[in-house]
Amino acid sequence: MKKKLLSVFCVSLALALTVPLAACGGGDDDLNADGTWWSTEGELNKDANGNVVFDDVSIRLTTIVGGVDKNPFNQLIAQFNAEYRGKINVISQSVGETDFETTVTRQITQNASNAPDIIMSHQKSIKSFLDYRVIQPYDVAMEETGVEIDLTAFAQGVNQYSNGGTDYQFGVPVDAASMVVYYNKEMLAEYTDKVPETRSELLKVCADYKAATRKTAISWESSGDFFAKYLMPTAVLQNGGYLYKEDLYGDWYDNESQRGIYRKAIESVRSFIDNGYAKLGVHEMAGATDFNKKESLFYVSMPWYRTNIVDAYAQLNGVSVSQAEEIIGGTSVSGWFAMENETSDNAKKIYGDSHMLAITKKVKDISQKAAICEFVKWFTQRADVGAQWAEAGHVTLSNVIADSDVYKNNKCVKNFINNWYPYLDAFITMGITPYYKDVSDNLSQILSEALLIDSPKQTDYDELIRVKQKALNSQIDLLKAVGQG
Amino acid sequence: MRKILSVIAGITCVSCLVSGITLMTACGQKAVDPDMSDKGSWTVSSPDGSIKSEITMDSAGELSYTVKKGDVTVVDKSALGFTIEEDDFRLLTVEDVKSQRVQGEYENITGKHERVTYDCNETTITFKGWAFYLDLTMRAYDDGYAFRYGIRAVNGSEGTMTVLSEDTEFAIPANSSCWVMPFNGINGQNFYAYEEAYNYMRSDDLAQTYVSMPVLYKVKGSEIYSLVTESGLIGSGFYGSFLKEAEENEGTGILQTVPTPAGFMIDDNKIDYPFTSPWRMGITGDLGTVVESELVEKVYDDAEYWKPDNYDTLSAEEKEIYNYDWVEPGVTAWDWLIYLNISSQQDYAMHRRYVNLASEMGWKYIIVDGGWNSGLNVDNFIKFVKEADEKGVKIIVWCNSLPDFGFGRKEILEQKLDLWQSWGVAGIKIDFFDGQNAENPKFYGEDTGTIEWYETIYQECAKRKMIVNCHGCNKPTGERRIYPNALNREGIRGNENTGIDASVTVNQLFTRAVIGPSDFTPVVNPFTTGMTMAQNMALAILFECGTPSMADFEYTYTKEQIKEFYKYVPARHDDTKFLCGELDTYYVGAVRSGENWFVGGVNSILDTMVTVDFSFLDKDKTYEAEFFINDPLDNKVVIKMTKDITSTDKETIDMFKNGGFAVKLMPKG
Repeated sequence: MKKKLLSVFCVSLALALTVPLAACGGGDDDLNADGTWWSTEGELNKDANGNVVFDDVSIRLTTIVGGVDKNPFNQLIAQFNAEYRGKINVISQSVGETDFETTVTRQITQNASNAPDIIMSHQKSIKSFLDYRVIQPYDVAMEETGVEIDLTAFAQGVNQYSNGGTDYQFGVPVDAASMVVYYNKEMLAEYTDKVPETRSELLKVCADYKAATRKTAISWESSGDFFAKYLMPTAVLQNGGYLYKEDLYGDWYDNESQRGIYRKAIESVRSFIDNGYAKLGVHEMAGATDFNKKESLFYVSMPWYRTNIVDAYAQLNGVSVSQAEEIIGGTSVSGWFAMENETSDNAKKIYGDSHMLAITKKVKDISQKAAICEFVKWFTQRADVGAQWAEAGHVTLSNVIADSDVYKNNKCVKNFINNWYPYLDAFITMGITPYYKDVSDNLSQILSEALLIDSPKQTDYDELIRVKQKALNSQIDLLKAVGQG
Repeated sequence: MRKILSVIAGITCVSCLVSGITLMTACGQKAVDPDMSDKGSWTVSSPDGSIKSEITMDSAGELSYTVKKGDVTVVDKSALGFTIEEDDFRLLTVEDVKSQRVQGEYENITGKHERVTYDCNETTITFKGWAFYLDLTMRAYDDGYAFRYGIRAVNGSEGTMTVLSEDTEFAIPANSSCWVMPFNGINGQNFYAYEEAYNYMRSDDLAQTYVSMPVLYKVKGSEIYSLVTESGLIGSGFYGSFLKEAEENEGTGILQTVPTPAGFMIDDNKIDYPFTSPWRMGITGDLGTVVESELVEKVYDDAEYWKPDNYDTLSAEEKEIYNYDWVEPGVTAWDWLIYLNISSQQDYAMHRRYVNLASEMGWKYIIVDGGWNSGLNVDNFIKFVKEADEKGVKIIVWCNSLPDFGFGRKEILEQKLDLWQSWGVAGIKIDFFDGQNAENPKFYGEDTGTIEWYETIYQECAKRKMIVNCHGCNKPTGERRIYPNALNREGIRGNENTGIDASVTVNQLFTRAVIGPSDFTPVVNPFTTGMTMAQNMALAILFECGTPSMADFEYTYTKEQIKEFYKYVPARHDDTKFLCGELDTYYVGAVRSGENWFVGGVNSILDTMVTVDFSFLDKDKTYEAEFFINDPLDNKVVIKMTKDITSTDKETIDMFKNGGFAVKLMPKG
């Protein structure tokens, strides 16, 4: 939150005035004697078996989900409400990513009557929410209510950040998403008998395809928001780099090893373009159309466009949707950018975002806390729910769901989800930093701007890396100077 | 207007019915009667006596009302009135009270029933302020209540007043269950086209929520529902309203009418007087009563269809235009949605395929949508229109309500409509009243300017015998009772929201679809796993509108299994029956068109087994029934069964999750 507020200084000052600060320079009036900021009131109504009896408990959920996956999400909420009719009712609303942290933090800190009881946000926001003390821990709520969720049964690569660097668990991971790859099985079979898993294998297929057709093997939405935002960190990680130092600054240029890795990351993407295996400046629709018109073997896009892509392929090629679902497959960008050590653990890494569910500080009533735990349990432990959410493009981070037959046997999970994310423990998010937006923006700008340089030299890349590192660190200095870090 | 009968009977004129009338002091200032008893109360009962509205003026002069259905309180004590800058309506005297029974009947060109009877008791109380009268007209129908205000100068003058607030409240009884479409501005801005889902909320959970009308609630502990909305917005000179809890009432379920948050609202509180407000109403009763009600349109009584001011000077031929017998409901083929990413609207080969589809199916129209006139070759277009006409198919063209017409310039509207009419165009699908895609419009949304612009459009189209389908627009408020050429209206979360699913559709049938034409744009093949083909077929029946826009691929409708069904899908509904259903769960209804009946079932999340009682059928006839039910293994497939059905039959059908069914019944012999 605070990070986003101050990313643009003039905006941040105005916004900072609107959000009463509870931490980082704010007062401690709302702290309990033990240093916590949450509390519980009321008594639970339980049946003879000790189960909580819910009587028309309302929960306000504010979610960051608002794109094409908003409808599937709302349907899941409707399903929960139908199953818990008369017991628990979830009132869901979406707030866009740009305003999410600002809006919900303001609502909660001002104790607005429409403030959420539970939020579904990107996990990278956890540090900001903690700084403003607007969320409260699950482990405490579960202990108080007796509604239990196994908080260890989630993909550890992401779940490790759910404590926000504290001794409590503040977030329950739900799902993850990154750039994924669609491919045409029939066309690819003409060039290889296996889906490329390493960069070498991929480059060979691309070269063969180009030689045979004079076309680019890869379509990607290189003008899209997610392209540089997800691919640059992925390329950095696959080449053995990291995104920021533990003190949360970037040393992308100063550290010679990292500088070399960042150059490699740029080169790993750029070489696809320079070799004629992919194009630059491709808009979302153009990339999809190329792929669906069988102009390319691969399409790099977002997972939630799956049904659109399959439907469009069916229409453009005069086949049924069922047939299109058999022709189009899913694979991952894992290994695509590793210039060396292709089979290393680093090469498997994919960078993306994950969603978490968090209870807000607003909730004091124990019945509401129990209802929230019940809802979170339903969303993260029910196999059919996980499968439905996967069909909307979101891989589950719950081991309970991932290990279930219902999930594993789901057609979409088998054909796409599991192939998009073959190594969930190698799924990397931004981690716990209040500066995630600055890191992400500067990283993606390195790639976006590097790809526009004609005939670049090494020094061009170095200068770009230096400038972006400086920009990042200046922004962090500024935030710390105004007591927001 | 095909007026059958209008009877106004039992008019009484009552004045000074109240005991404690506000005192006037010698110097002309008003003083409040120290007597703490109410200054007056008036009860209006429906003809069958089941609905009673009581209006009260308390000792402080505050106006309020309550509504009961039988013994159930539907509206708790709620404020009435307006606050205007030019007068102080806190201190009113009762000037006059008139009561009458309003009865009559009219025929619909489109609606839920071919013939509608209206019957209510009405009381109008005239209050006097300093310089203005405030008329409050309350009606009680058997299926609900409705009231509106009049504000007029005591001296009979005309002018402009400043409305500071409308003070009307709907106090929903505590802990009632509500189904609400909250205002949610498109792209986070105050663009709004009533395209959100209806979701359950408790009445005490509505704090800080702009509630769209209509809003449905069920009174806690009863089976009484009430659908609150407004009617008669067109012509009122007023803006569209929403409902919101006042800050001091947060968490109470007391909703106050507030100006639309969708629009500029510049000078929208400058209202001309004499002024008659839109009707505020609650369609009230059991679910069947609510669903089958046409109260939104009934309050127009025996209103005549619109005629221009110079009507009397027109030739006989010109006068015939205003019989509106040229208004033809008809199923419409629409290629934009499904071909959006595949082809452009300048693809005449595609349009011709839809013309052929319409011709083959006996449908009346096709729509050529946004982009059709970009770089238009007029000769080719005219040729296309003629070809379609020769096949019995008429062309509706898309346009953008604001930038296409100089943001409300009537002369540009006239010019373009003249041109399109000369090309043989039969109507317009006019879009983006919500203000999207318009740079610096002077009004949009539900501003008074936009409401007036709607009316101008209906009028200019009527002059040219053109039908109107409003898109990206506001809720219906009975427009077609004055402008029957306004056949269709979006203002619904339809298939353009391609991820729509059954959790949305069921509640729409109990809410938005009740108040007027609903352009859901049905498809056959579901866009998501949250729908089934059987449900889509049901929706093609259940959403009433004059020009239902069939939005799937052209070859879909001519598949042998379903072709005969879609050939007969009704654009005109002659009768509407609610058979069974529950909010959030399922809906089953029947529609008659001519002699044919159709039954549609729509299910939401949980598996539902329903038994359809066919007793609504003509008892002397046997019907050949085609049932289309879900294939349990594939949501894109239906199973078709044919059997004879009579009014004594009952059929049990499993609707499955997100499923439904459709039945076409045609009398044999």
